[in-house]
Amino acid sequence: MSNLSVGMRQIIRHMGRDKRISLGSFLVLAIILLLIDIFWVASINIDHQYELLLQTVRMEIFISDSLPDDNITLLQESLGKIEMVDSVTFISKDDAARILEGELGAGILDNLDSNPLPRSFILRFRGRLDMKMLDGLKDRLMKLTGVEAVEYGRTWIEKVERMGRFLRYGGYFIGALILFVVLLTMANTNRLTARSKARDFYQLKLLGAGPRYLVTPYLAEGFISALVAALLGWSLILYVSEKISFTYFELMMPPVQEIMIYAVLAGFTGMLGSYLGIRRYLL
Amino acid sequence: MSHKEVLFEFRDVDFSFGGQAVFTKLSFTLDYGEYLVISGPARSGKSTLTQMIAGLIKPQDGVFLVSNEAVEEIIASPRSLRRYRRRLGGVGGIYQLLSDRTVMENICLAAEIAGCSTAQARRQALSAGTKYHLSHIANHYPDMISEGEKRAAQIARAEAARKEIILADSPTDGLDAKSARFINERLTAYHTAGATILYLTSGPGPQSGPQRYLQFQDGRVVATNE
Repeated sequence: MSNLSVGMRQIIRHMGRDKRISLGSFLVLAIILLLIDIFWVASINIDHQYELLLQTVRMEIFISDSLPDDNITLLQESLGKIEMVDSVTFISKDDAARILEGELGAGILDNLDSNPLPRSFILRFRGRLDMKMLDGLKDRLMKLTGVEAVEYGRTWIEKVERMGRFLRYGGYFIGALILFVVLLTMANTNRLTARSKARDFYQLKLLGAGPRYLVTPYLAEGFISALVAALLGWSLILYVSEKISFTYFELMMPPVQEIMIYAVLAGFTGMLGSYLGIRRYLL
Repeated sequence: MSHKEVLFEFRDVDFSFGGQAVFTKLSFTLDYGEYLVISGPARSGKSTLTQMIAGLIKPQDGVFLVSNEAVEEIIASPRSLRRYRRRLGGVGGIYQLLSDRTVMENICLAAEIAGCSTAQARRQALSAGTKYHLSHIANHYPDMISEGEKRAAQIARAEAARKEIILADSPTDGLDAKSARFINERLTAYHTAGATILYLTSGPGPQSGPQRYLQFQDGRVVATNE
């Protein structure tokens, strides 16, 4: 029995009828899914910028004056061996004085008997950083002999991290909200269609049609509409991103595989929405 | 189809709607392969009978058996109900054509639902359509054809799906004499081919073809030709 061909004919016939409702629903879906796409691109890029920002983080390790110069090299070597550390720069007392004078003006230390500025190391990092990692590293460093103080822009990083967290969770929330709207849209459209087809459902059931026969065209329509709407949205975004160039940053896009998975998931969401819309007519 | 076996058995069935009795101790049987006419005035319960036979409603009291199985049991199982309904066809009353499908698609429909392949359903539909003089309107939608053609398409739909039982609810009401005669002839021919026909009418019903006549009044059988 060619259930598939019967099903396909049903689906094609179903999508062909109520063209205005189908088109209206499709456009609403396409716009909603486009919002998700834009939001997705925005999150990826914010995340990328956040990572770039964290890569500029540096940690300053102040060395006690009592640590003999001979131990400085050993300390520098052990700092360089820390996994996340990309580079270690030694700042001598003289270097520190030059930097300070560079910032605040020459002769600022002239009235002092000796250079009070401590020797220090500046660490730069590689890979993804977070507060926890930096705090852990600070604790480790503070235990090393000769380390007097460790400083990094904790408050600043904390703010950036808070912002990142807010954007991420906000993203999840808005994403879930938009998916819910997709579900509602599909459910309502199909409820309207099914209501107008209630008499036909009744006749089909009288002839012995089962839920599968009744539901298949609606599920297929939900899946195909949402899938095509999702792909259309991405085509538009990719086209526009090709045409626009940004001076200060490169626009990041999700990988094609992820877009495909997203489109299929959108399809299944559309299918679920369709099912919710007509399930009462299946009983 | 085995003959002389009871297909439907109504035993003291009561059914009321909105506080008004529709059936009162309704009792009768219909055998496999039989052609039975039930006639009665309007609001005598004929349409309710069709609904009960189609499994849309259950007796409130008494017993309605389908091939010795209580209709409640059939209704309780969606699968059994579907299987049962695939044996039932109808003309008039609750059985109508789907408005958004052509005549040919409507005729194919029941065969497809019954499990025929698309090609087989189409073949059977074409054959039935020809027999019922519907070929010239095969691609017309129901709102484009006459009432007589609609009724013919409904029987053709049942025949294309090889339905064993036909519920004909006032199938000739509102038809001209020629169309009514054609419908009655087709029902008789389908019965001769082995189908069981239950014909409900407010008039006397067809004169040739049926084997038995029951007179309905106030939801019960008041007379029979036996």
